[in-house]
Amino acid sequence: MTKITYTTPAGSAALNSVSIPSVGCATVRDFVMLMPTSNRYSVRWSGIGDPTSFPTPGTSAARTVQAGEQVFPSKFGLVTGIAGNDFFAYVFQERAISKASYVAGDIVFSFDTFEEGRGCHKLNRFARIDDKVFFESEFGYHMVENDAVVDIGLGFVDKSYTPT
Amino acid sequence: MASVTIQQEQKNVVVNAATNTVFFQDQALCYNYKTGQWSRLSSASGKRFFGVNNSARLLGTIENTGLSVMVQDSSTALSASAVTATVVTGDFELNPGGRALVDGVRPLTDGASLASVRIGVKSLLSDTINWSTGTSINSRTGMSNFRAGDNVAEGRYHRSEFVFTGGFTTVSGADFEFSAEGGV
Repeated sequence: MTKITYTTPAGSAALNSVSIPSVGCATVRDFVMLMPTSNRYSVRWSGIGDPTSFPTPGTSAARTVQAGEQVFPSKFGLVTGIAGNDFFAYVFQERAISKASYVAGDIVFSFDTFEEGRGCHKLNRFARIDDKVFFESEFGYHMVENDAVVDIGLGFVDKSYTPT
Repeated sequence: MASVTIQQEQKNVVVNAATNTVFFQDQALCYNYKTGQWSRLSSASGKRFFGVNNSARLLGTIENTGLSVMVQDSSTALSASAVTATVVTGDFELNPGGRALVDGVRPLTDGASLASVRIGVKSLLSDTINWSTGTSINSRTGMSNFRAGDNVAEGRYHRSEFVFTGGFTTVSGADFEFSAEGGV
């Protein structure tokens, strides 16, 4: 059985036996999407409806169950978070945000980068509630809603409490 | 078993749907996404909201009353009275290109404890503001008048100041009554 490994903040003590060491994951529609440690600029998702199935991306076995991976431009930094829901996911890099939309077929997910500049500046510094995602960037505090970033801390809060 | 060192310190961002708040652990900040207001949760117990610009200003507390969590205002939770609040508007050029004489101001607020209204006057934006003497509100017109001979609010830029001594919920604006003058 395939199991997902979480690494603790101290960098040790994996909780389960290893198949794909990851620093975070999310449920996106009928998939589990991971942030694998093997390539911190990428995400990888499971077979449809099976969170234990992670065939090698690009193989016929992967195409059969719609499993795959996506590598993001390294100029935007590491992948730092995935905020998923029943319809789509936001993939955060340190300085960018992309939307993952399910399109099925061999492509499975379409990734559209709609924000270049503000991103989740450190690992998992975000929280989702309903269709809103709150996150910290190197500039301050923001919210994503309807594929638009709102600077909720603009002004006094961002100046006085810059995330570290 | 493979593992990696991610970061030396993991800090969380957490949503509390019961209080409509997002907590940013890094700076102990708390954001209410219903009201768009920020506060700090800097106390060790994590039950007290403090102002972002005054760490000693207690805004309210989270009280666990059985099965539900509710936010209480500090004035009731601690049986304290409201502190004096001063609200100042920005500068208005009431008569574009010219000067103006303000007869009165009608504050638009639900605060019944409005103790004093003043008008600040400037001829240049770089001037020091010249405040009139504070006046009270006429109970029938709702106006604070500045018609006394020694309390004339005449100039090019005007602002108003409201002082509440017993608390208020909202201040939405101010109506100015004025007479246009010449440009000099």
